[in-house]
Amino acid sequence: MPILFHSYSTPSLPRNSSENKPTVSAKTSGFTLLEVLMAAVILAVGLLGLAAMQTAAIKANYQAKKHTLATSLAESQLEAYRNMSYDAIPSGTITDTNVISGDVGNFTRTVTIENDTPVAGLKTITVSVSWNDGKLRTTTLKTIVGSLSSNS
Amino acid sequence: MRDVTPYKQPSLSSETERFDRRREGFTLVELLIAVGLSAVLIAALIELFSINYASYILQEDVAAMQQNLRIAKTILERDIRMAGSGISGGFGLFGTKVDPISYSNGTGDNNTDILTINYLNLGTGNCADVLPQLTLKGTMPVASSEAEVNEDLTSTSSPPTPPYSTWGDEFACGGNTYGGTPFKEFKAIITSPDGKKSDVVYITQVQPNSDKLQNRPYAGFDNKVINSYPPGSTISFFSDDQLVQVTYRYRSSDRSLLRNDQAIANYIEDLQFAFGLDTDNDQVVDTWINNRNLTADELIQIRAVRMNVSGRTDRIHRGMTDVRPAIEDRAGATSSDQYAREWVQLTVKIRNMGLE
Repeated sequence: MPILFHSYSTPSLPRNSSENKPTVSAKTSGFTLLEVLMAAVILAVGLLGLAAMQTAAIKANYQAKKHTLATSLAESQLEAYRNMSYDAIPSGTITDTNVISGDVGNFTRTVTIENDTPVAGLKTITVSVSWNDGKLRTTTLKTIVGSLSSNS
Repeated sequence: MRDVTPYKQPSLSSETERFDRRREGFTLVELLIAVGLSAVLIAALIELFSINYASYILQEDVAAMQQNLRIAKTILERDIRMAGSGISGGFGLFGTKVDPISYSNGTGDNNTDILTINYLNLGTGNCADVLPQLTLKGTMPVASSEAEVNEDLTSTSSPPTPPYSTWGDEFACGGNTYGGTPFKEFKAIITSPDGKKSDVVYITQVQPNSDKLQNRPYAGFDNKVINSYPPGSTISFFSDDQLVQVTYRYRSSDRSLLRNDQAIANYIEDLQFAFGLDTDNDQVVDTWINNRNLTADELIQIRAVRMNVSGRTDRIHRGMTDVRPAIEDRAGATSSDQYAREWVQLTVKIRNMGLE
C-alpha cells in the first residue's frame, strides 16, 4: 500500500512543481473534437485499404474466369484447324474481335499460321486470345499440324 | 483498498481543485457529442463490414465454382479427346459392338445430356506379361468362335520357346487363377495388324494339340468376334484396366458432374453436348446435332464434340443479375435467380475416329 501510494504520487510531483499549468492536465484528461475526427479519418483510410483488398479479390476472380474462357476459346480454334484438311488451313494472320466465349464476350483472337514450319510438310499454328481489363492480357496456345491423310 | 488521500496532496491549489471538479464527469452536451460520433463511426463500420462480408462470401463461392468448373472441363476434355483410341475401326466386347461415343440427349437430371466414351488404354494392363502374345494363322471371319494360331500351344514339343504352352495351362494373375482343368475362362483381345479393329472375348477352351482357341457363347454373351481378322492378327490376354468406359452425367441432388457415378466436380448446373458429323466422308465436319439422339450410322460419323459445362454458385447473392443461359438445345431461364454463373464451351476434335 505505501509503495503504491508513493509510486502514484511521484509522477504528479514534477507536474505540480514545474509550472502548475491547469491546461496541461486538462489536455491529457480527454480528446478534443478535432482529435476524434482526425482519428476517425485515419481509421477510415485504413478501412478503405481493407475494402480495396476485396476489390482486388473480385478482380482476381474475374481475371481467372477470363483466363479459363480465353483458353477454351484458343483451344476450340486449334481444334477447328485440326478438323480441317491440311490444305484447307489458311495461312497468314487472322484477327477476330469481340469473340464470345461462354458467357463473356469482347475477346480478341489472333491466329498466325506459318506454312512449312518448323519443317516442310508441317504448319505451326499460334492462337492468341487477348482481352483488356485495364491491362492487356493474353493467353497463347501453339500447335504443329501435319498432313495425316495420304490423299492430300 | 487505495486510499483517497493521495489525491488530496498538501500542495493543493485553486487550479487543481478546478481540474478535479472537471474530472468528476461529462456534461450532457459532451456525452451527446461522444455518442453521436460513436454512432456515426459504428454505423459506418457496420456498413463497411456487411458490404465486405457479402463480397467475401460471393467471391469465395465464385472461386470455388470456377475451380470446380475448370476441373470438370479438364477431365471431360481429356476423355473426349481419347474417345475411340484403339477401337476406331470397330470394337466388339463379348460379341457386341461398342461405339467410341454413345449419347443420350436430354435424359439426365434437369434435361442434361449423358455421354459415354470408350477407348483402349495406352498401357498394356496389369496382367500384361502373364501370357505370351499369339498370332492368327488363318483369317478369322465375322461371327467366328474359333481361332487357330501359328504358335505351338503344347508343352511336349521341345524346345517350347517361348513357352506358349502357358495358354493351355493354369496360370494366375491379380489373385485369380485361369485356364487349367476344369477350364476357368479368361478374357483375350484380338487386334488386327493395323491396330484399328479389336475384339475382346472370353476364351472358353484352349486346344493345345490343334493350336486352337475357342470363344463359345459364355455367361449370357454371344462372345463371337464382330470383325474379320486377317492372318497375323494378335491375340493377347486382356486385363480389365485396358478398356476405359466412362459415362458422364449430371446429378442434380448435389449438382455434381459424375464420371462413372463418381463425382468429379460440384457447383455444376448444366452439361450439354453437340456433335460434329462428317456425313459425306470428306474428313470435314459438315453437320452439327445437339437436340436429338444420334442414329447408329451417325455415331460413327462423329468427328468433333462441342462440350458445354456450366457452373453456378452454391448460394444466392443479392444484386446478381445473371440469368441461366441457353446452352445448346436447353432453353435459358427468363429471369435472374441471383446466382453467379460461369459457362465453358469447348470444341474437341476426335482424333481417333474416321482414320481409315
